[in-house]
Amino acid sequence: MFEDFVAGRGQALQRYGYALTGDWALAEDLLQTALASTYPRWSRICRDDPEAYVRKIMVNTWSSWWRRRWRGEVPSAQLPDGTGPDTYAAADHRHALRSALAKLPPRQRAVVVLRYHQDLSEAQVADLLGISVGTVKSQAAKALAALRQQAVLEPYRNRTVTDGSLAAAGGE
Amino acid sequence: MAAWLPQGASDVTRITDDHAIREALAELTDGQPPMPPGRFAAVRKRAIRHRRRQVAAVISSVLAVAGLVTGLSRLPTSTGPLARPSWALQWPDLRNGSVPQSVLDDAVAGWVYTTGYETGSPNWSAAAVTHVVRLFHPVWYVGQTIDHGQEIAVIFEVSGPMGPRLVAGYTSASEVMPGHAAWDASTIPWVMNSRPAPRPGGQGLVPEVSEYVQAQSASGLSGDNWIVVLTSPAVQRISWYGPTVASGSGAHSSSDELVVANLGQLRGDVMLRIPGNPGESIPVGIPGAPDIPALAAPPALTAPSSFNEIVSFTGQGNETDVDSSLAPSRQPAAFIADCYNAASNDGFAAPSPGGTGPLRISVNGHALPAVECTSGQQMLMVPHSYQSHKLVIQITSSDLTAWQVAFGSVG
Repeated sequence: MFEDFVAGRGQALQRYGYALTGDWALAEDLLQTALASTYPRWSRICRDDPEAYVRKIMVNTWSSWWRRRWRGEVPSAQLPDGTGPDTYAAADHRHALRSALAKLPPRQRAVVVLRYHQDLSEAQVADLLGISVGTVKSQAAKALAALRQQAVLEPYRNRTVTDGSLAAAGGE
Repeated sequence: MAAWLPQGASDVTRITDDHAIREALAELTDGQPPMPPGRFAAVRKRAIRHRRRQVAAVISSVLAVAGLVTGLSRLPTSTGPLARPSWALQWPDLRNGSVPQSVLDDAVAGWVYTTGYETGSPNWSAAAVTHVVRLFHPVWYVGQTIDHGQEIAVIFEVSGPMGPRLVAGYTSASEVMPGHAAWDASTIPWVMNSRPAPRPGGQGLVPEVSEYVQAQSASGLSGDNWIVVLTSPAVQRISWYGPTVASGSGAHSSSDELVVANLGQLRGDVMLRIPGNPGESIPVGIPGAPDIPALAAPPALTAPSSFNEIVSFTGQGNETDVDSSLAPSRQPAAFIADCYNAASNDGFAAPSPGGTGPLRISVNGHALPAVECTSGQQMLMVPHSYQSHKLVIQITSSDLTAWQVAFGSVG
């Protein structure tokens, strides 16, 4: 049932939309657009992999928006809520990461989000974006290099090394 | 990579980067706002509205081409104060202030672009919208929220290359009210309907302008149809009647200049009647440009046990569907189809212009026997010779025919 799919996967797809757009309102709009396009075709799509279909529509739609829409920074009148001593540092990290992601070319950003947020394989990303696996590898490498250059991964890398989760994640 | 890293450190660095970006993205997308209530219903509604926009766009583009050919030289160039011009209908401005003027200006600009008067990718800066508004000189009659602020309905008159035109339209408030993301020509959120405006006091003065506004139903499963009816000051009373799902058919009347009413789910067009014009029923819409309600879905199909459904469609009007994943089967294939339209609505013989014709299905260009919408559910066998490596299913009906079709194998 389409309704069950929306209820079950809506939150996860909206997070994916946010990773693409960097804006919750745009993410919601993007998801609604993709679901509205999916709805009339649901009886066919549901037999295969509906989530992959929705993800594909979302990334294609976002790509077209990226080309056409105004993408200036949206000022916020509200400061983030604080609950601990590291709140401001964490907010700074997120802001820096969001800005760095926003500066990536759209295809590189899509590759990063699909590969590292959605945990798709390189082959799956290639299939979804209609590019070769080699292009996925090179775009991912360029994107990571750009993020590395802006040092936005440092806080997360340090945290990873400090808490020892690298071994578990990397199998080392 | 840093030059001082020892040999073999590249793998560690890559793994660290991979892991760090995963951590970063997970944290970045944490703290998600709660899912908006009624997301499913909103999606369904948006899909149906998209179809209505497609129909309206076809009509508008035909009118626009004709108008550009005949009336381009009459494009006004004045940017003077927006006083009520002599060509406008002498109807009152019934806007109630619930919609900001900037949103109403966007509606005018949206209409200009959907009709093709302006082409290309619009620049929706305030200055650009202001320029378009001054160029087309809108005269406002209705601009207000309805359905507890969920929808916005507008009725206005503009003067463009084709001369004065009456425009009625609507959209979801969440798509255009301040705070929502910007929109562009490919996603103009307004559903608009227009026709040449009559000259004040001249021949063919329209007694009313009306439109359907689709809104989320209380059940959340199917769209309700509201009607917005603006009557001429000369009209003392107007009544309306239509085939509703809840009550079969109903009739109401009002002496108000502006009627805003929720009719629930519909099984056909709603007709308006003005006392003094006996026997004359007017479909909802701008006279001469009828609007289309969103019809309730037909009852669920009942398939025999020998029928193995592969795909099913529910819709209204025409649809073409290409699906190469439906490989031809050695088993016989068939459609089960059901539909209804004005011809099926027993006891309610509305003289609707939406047509009462049959539903037609073709497979790869081969027409199957027509499905009469008065005959109940029917099964149509598909000759094996009609199938190929790609299956193109075309479903054709009038815009006011609701249907449900299932394709599958038999045996």
